[in-house]
Amino acid sequence: MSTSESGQLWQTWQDAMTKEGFRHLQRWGRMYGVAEKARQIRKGATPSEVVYEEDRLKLLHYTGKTTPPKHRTPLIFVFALVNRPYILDLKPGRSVVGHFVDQGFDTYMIDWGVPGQADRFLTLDDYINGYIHNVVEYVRESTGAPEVSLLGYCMGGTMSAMFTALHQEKVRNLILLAAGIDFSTREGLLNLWSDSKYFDVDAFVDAHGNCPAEFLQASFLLLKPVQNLLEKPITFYENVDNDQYVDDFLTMEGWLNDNIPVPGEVFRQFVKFLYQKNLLVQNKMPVGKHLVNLRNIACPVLNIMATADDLVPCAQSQPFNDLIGSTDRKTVMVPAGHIGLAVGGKAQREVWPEACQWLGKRS
Amino acid sequence: MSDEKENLYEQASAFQKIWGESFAKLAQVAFTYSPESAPPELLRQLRSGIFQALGKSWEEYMRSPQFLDSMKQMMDQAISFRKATNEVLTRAHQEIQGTSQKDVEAIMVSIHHMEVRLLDCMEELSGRLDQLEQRLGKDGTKGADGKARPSAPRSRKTTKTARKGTSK
Repeated sequence: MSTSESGQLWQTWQDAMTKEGFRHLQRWGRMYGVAEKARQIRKGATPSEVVYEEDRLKLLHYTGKTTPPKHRTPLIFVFALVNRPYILDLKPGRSVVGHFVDQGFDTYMIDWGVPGQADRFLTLDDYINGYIHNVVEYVRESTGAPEVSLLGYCMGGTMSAMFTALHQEKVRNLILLAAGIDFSTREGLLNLWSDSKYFDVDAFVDAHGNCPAEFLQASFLLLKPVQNLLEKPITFYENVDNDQYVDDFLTMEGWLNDNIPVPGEVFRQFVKFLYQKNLLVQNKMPVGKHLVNLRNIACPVLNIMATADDLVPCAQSQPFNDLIGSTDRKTVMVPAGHIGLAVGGKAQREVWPEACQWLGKRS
Repeated sequence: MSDEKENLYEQASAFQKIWGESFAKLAQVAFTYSPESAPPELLRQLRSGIFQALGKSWEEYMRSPQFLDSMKQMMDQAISFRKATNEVLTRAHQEIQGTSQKDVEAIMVSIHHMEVRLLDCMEELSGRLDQLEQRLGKDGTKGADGKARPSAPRSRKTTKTARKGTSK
């Protein structure tokens, strides 16, 4: 390298360092406003009203622009028990619910509420043959529709699949979103960690009652510790001067940290019967007095999953379509993560309009 | 005792191996830079490479039997501690003739069992009613195709409250 070349290089390095120094100062200036912004974050984008309540459960009915609804069959969102359901209606432009409401679907969502110690003995039977069943009955009665469509996300998808297998005559369409069905895979860390060799779920539930929200949150964080604990805060700091980024980040983080406990018995059944014994795919999953037989599912099924999902790997959702009795079944794989599947840009642009179209033809 | 020592030694060497490999990967990343890149950009590249290598090592480590064993040990200890705390608190409540969580839970279990028994009875009665209706000619159990519908599980709960009100 000649002297002039090295001098030029040194100059470039100096300029870049100076610029970077100023950017750091700007970012630090911006950091003061972050706490205030976090307080201003609103949850939910689509107007809704509570139309039905039972114990801690609330059923939200979304009031859309098209009244009466364009499609005859109402749609019910069934969310997981581990987080709050507003991720499906996060903010304008990032709302799964919004897509369906705008397309003229009569849309409802189950908000399970936050379980207390009094709920520790609630079982999957109470949720599936109790709460979900009562919600479906309420929607059928209030709308006059003979059947409903169900959209289940994550654990809510697993419960929706079980409900459909037990009450097929009440479900017209089933959409699963990152739903765990076949738990034999060891691709995901959760599957490995919950192995009966390493995790005594009985002792855990007996000692704690409900599964604590902090335990769940720590487990989810540990799935990708470097990404969650190092990369994420640094990327946030580097983008703190981008208002849109900060708004998205705070909304997402607000939701991610809004974990809720899972009723103890449900947690026990979910871990023992699904993660440890994988009973659902064997058609031996007990729900109350009944065994779930996935072959009973005869309605159209749309099974959506994310290729980079660390919580519910594709291998866990994909086998579902081969285990059911329905002939009208479709699998959609999205290059996204577990949450990106709902709120990610690609999902919002491509997946949800397609899902609306699919459901519209069958409603 | 010697088994324990051996086990500990195995765990330590596996841990050392994983981290040794990670640091080797980190060093590889750190030395693949070009002097043309400006320092901030260069640092970002390095950081990205380092995080990638670290991420991989962590994933490997969290799948290793050593990690899984230590996780189990930690969980067992946490559960034992929680159980001991529960017992102490229960005893304290009982000493002052108060109601402990254990007492409340025992009542809840009794109520739950009673509810299950009642619902089972109702389910059986409902089934009998269906059969009676069928015999009387009200063909409520047949589907649109005229074939008998398979019996579906009934609702576990019967109470519901319809309420209107804005959620936001």
